[in-house]
Amino acid sequence: MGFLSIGVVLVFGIILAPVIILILASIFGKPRNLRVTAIFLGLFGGLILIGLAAVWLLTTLLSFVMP
Amino acid sequence: MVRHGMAIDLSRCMGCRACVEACKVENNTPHGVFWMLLLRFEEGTYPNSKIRYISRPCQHCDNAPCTKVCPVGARFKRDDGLVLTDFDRCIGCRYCEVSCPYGVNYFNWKKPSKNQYYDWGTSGLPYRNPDHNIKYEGRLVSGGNHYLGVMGKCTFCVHRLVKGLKPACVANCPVGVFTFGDLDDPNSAVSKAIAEKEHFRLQEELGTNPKVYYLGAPLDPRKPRKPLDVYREEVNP
Amino acid sequence: MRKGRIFLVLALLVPIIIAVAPLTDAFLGGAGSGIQPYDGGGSCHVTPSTAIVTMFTPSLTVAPVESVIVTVNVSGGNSGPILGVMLVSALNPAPASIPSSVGWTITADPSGSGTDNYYEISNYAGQVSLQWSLTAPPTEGTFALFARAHHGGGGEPQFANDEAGLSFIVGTGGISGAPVVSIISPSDAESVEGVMTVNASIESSTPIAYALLQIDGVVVDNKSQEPFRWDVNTTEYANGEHSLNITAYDTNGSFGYKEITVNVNNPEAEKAIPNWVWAAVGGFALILGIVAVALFMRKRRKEAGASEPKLDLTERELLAPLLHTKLPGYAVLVLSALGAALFLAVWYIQMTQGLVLTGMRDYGVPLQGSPWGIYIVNFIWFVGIAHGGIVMSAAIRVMRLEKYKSIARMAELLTVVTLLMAGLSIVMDMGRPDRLFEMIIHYSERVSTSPLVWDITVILIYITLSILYLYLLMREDLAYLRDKLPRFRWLYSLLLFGYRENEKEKIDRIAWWIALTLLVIVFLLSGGVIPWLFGLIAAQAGWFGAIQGPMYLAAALSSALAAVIVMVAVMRRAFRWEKHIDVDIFRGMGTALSVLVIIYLWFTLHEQLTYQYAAPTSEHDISNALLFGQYALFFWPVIAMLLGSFAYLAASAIARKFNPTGTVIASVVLLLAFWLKRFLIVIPSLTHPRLGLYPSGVYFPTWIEYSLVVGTIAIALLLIFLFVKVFPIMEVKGARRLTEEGVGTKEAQPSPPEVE
Repeated sequence: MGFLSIGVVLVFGIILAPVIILILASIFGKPRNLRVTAIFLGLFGGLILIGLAAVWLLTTLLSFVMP
Repeated sequence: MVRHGMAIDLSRCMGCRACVEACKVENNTPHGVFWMLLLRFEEGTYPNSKIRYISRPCQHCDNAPCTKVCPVGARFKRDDGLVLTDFDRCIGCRYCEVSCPYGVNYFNWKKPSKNQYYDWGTSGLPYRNPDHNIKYEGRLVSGGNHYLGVMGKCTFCVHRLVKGLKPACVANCPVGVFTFGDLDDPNSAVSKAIAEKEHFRLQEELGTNPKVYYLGAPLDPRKPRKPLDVYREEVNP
Repeated sequence: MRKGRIFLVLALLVPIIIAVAPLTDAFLGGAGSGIQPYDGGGSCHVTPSTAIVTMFTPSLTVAPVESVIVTVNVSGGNSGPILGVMLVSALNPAPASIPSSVGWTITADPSGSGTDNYYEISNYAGQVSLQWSLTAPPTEGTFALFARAHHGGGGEPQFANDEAGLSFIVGTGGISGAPVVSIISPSDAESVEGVMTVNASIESSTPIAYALLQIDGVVVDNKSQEPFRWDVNTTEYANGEHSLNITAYDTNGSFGYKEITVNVNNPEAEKAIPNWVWAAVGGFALILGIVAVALFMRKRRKEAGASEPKLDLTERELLAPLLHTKLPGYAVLVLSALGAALFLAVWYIQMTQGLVLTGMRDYGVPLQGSPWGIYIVNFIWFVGIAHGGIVMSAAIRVMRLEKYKSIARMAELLTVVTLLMAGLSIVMDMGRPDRLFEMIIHYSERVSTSPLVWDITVILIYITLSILYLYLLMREDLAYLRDKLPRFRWLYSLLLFGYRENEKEKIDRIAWWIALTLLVIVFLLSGGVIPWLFGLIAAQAGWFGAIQGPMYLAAALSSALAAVIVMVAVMRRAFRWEKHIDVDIFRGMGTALSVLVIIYLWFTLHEQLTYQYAAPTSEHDISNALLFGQYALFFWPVIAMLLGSFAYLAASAIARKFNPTGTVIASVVLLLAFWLKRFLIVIPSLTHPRLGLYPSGVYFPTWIEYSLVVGTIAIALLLIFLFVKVFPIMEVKGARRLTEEGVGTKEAQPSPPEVE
């Protein structure tokens, strides 16, 4: 029960549920088109990683500014 | 496991603020930052009014909202019951301050070295406490003088507890208002004080389970209370 | 028998008396300690001894009646254990004089309980140190003290003198016993410049605790030991007279001071150019550069204009922003770029100097402020507006309202840009934005309890899916225009990796699912994590509660629709897309907007009624402050704006004739009203702490905060501008199909219209 805290249930159960469904639909939904699915999923993951990298870059740059 | 708590005997407090001053000097807190604070208020209406004093450190709640909402885990609760702030990790979002019902959080709006009461020049604070450079259990948690843009609050003088000393406010009260010790030990002075006397805690109904017990009758909700410290201290850029 | 008993008592007592009495003082020879002042001269027949007598005192310069401590050390000598030491004011010629005859007052002698100048010990073993406390004579002058030791007894007592003695100079100045300060440099009224050395000499009989250097009454520095010398940079003070004061405190708490004036006379220094000037210059240069490049490209485009024949009339209309930029466009570019430059400069200042430059302060005592301010208000406002895209996408795809298709991409762009600005609003509010990445490092640990972390999660997913939605549906147009707009061919080709003609069907399918996901996430974002940031906080009366969820959702959707209406109206007018964007969509959006606004007002009624009826004091106080007190002059106009807009939009929905201008104006008013209403949600709770022992607070934003807020709007405009100039904001392929099928716009005059 410790692992299943409010936040975990909320975020990974409720909030991410439609996202999981989306990912599954993009893979298995008709018409099947694996190339498009791959582009979509690749971009999805890629954008998130780019976002995280951008945050890291921003914080590194800001660390030179802040006293 | 030790669970640090405090009992504050309101019948003894005379409002001298030695605790406030001791905390400030011990923890090197800057201008406008009062980790220990004395609330002064008038209770009742004239002619049936009196001045009362309540000293207000951090309550180190066992169910602290501040530790829950911190997005980076800079505000955390240690095994010995202390709620501490990791100054190296705090991002300055002030969510802990917003979620604390007791108003114990003080943010470094200004660079602490530029925010003292005197311009101490390049030599810095003459009463700088070297204990604050030490990381306790690997985290920088003591002292109010570290960084711009981070939050701070009463630490129950964690740097004194490791040396077996009592917090500065407890040690400096001239009339013995404070009792400090292990709440889990039924024979400790603080447990006995709480067991023997009528006591209350602030805002218990919020479910925070604070560990500061005020000895005396609970504040009568029928009596009006007016804070007397309504002068707003200016911390200017 | 009586006589016998008396004799027995006497017989016992006398031996006892004889045995014990010598232990008392009664039988000591000479004049005896503590009986009377002894001047040691006169009739005693004395011979010099080999003992050495020395005297010590902390300071020979004393003020009148100042306390003085004299220590007398005696060593050596070869006679018995009895030693008498005396302080005298003269040795020769005889008779020596007792100190009180010249004005000294002895306050303590070595016995500890007397005030005599003579003290005798009976256990002298070759070394002794004795101390007298005296107060100096009350008149000025030189007063000497000597010490003399007598020892031995019987017929040949011996003596020894400290022949040098101590010569005290009793001078003026200071409180008795206080330190005496004299300033060696600078001299009084001296003209100084650059770095001046302040040198003081402090005389004190008691050790000095610390000395303060004060300039113009402000303590500049302190020192607790010699040398009392400071280097002061006079360029920090304006030219002219300043007072310089050195106050010294001794360990007894007495103090003495010396005050002089100095004349600071620095040559007028060249002022360093402040950073904001550099930032503004940089911003201007940047804008000039952009304008120059744009003008250059325009010239090139004009020259190459003939070689872009393949666009037909409809396409040229739809691609107007990509093809031409006129003066209003450049004005938007320059102004928004200036705003962006302002943002960067002011944010830099705020980061280096701290959030003290804002109006935010700690709540409670002593600062009585509000720890969150208009940055958070801005954040909520932008997140609300960011729902515009999904509202349109849901309407078009999930509810199949085809008539909004023309503005789909516009709305999605609004979503992406405003979400970025929402994130920026949070980062600019942080005390240490250089530690933002910590939130990601400790994500797994904190996601269990922190609403802020949930917020970041949802916003990240939302913005990623929105960008994907925008991008995936734009691929078709990019592929179509790749050859028709050779200028952008390289960019479009890059973005079209993996493109095949047959992908359209699958893309549409995925887009449908994305729209559905985003629709669900809307409820979890604006009706979820955002209100939960506030509604879960029991500490803040006025925030805590379940109504926050639905209320924020209504506000967000209202803001979103209002923003979409404004954006579409501006672009429709600017790029002359009246034929491509049906005016009827304003009516539809306006109707939906009116319903959302009244729902929001209804929730507001819920909230205030609950806080007014029989609420706890903490909630009641906040509601009173909003309705009748501190914030009333703010609250009621906002409600009026909301009600007025609702009334107009509702009337407009049922009226026979429809005028889009009114709807647009109502939308602008709503955007402003919702920004202000968010202020009235965030700040009153923070300035009215729940703990009744605290006084209420005040919060006024400063120019720094206004600048950053305006800056985020400017950056949003800039990003929209840049997108519109590079990518087709209106669907081209789709529109073409509409014309081919005979549905949609009519052809206008044969010649290309004068588009912007």
